Amino acid sequence: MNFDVVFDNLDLFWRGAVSTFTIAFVTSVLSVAAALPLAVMRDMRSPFLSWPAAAFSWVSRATPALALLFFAYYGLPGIGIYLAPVPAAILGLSLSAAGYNMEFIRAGLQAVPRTQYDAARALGIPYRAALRRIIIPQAMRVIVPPLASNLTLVIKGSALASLVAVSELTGEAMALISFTYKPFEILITVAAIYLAINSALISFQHYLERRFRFG
Amino acid sequence: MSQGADPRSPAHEDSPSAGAMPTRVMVEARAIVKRFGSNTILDGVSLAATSGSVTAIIGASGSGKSTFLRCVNLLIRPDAGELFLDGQRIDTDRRERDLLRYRCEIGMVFQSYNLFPHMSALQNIIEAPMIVHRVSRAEAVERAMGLLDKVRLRHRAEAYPHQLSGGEQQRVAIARALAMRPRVMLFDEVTSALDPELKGEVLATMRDLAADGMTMIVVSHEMSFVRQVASEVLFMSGGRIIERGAPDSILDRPQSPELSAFVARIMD
Ligand SMILES: Nc1ncnc2c1ncn2[C@@H]1O[C@H](COP(=O)(O)OP(=O)(O)O)[C@@H](O)[C@H]1O
Ligand SMILES: [Mg+2]
Repeated sequence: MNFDVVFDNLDLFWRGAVSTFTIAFVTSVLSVAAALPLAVMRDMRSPFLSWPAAAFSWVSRATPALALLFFAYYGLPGIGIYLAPVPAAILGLSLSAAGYNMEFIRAGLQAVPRTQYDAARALGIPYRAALRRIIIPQAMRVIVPPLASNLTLVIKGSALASLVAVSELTGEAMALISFTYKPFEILITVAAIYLAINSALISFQHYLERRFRFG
Repeated sequence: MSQGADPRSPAHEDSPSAGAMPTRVMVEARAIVKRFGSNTILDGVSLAATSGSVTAIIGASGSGKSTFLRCVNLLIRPDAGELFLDGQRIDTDRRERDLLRYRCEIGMVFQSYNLFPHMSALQNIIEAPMIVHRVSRAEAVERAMGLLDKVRLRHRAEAYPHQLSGGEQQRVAIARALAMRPRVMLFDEVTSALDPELKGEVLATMRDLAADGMTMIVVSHEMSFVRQVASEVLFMSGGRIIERGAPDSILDRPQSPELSAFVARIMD
């Protein structure tokens, strides 16, 4: 076992890790930000709001991430939208993650008793403020664990981005293996980097779980 | 006595605590109808509560008491009927957002307290004034501490709902509703979920509030409370008010068979 191949190519690992981290981070933020309003819309009485949200959830969850990724990169130019590799990867992965995020958020919102909405309404608190201050903080302990698990999957799945010409960690490492023939050392290093990124996410999950614990 | 007063006429008496007999109608419901599917749950329920009065609503479970209270503050919308607050007609068809102003004039306390479990007693109380009335935190806290004094819970300000007894939670819920400075308070069986030894402290708080001149509509089966505090008692059955009058006449001389049966059941 000789890790010289890693130390000799630190800049490659660094660039790959930064690229993977960036895609994972932006995808996580975007897919959660999109999922929250969709989750709220999904259970609205108006079919003009609930139906599109339901359709999105269905397509997002029933379509392979890779297909959405290819669609964002190879498909969208068909209607005149040309995205660079990284934005295309982020869009495809976000579309794929948002459907699951949405269902986890929805389950959390539904877990808050109706009586909490009644109490907020009886005090004259507007719906959005009630969601933000009263409903979502109570929903968090139901939402956070599955949502964080889904985001660890998203981070690992970001390796798919290499298939739309993004130079991210896994793709760069595979290229390095193909001309150094040191798969063992290189893949251990790759695994350690994913482990570090996901550990940061899991720590954040634990912080949120403590932050929203009560009763 | 309230029947003759036109609710739209200008107020004769602005301060309910000024000593003179207040005669102004603070909240009025006229012929409220509510259906769920094909069931008519409220079949023309009317009520006029004068300023500072305590109106008690009694009736068997399922007779529509909660539904009526929820129509009064428009948590649910009546299918027909009219609402007036201090002489002003409330347009019940407006969007939810436009009803919020009206709703925060009417405090409501629920059987199951419904405190916000992730907030301390103090936070529960300051939340709505800060969001709705844009009161500064300092002012909201000062007012909240005054209200906690009033419900004798100043020492529990930092406690979370799960650390409070049922009676304490309910008193915090009353303080939370009062923080919006409502003109009317609705109480929906607020002592029903409490152990007998805890009912007393909540009823005492409600007595204080009545003595302060708050207009109150109280669904309650605490007959000694109703007898002592209520100005008028309404008996509901099958979505209608079938008897109304002074507490003693309603409880001691029921006219209808329904009320006779109800009183007999309640008394033992
Ligand atoms: N949201 C609702 N949908 C359908 N039926 C309801 C609803 N709310 C109340 N009801 C019905 O209305 C009737 C009166 O209920 P309620 O007002 O809670 O009575 P009370 O408070 O006097 O016990 C009951 O038969 C109840 O089942
Ligand atoms: Mg009820």
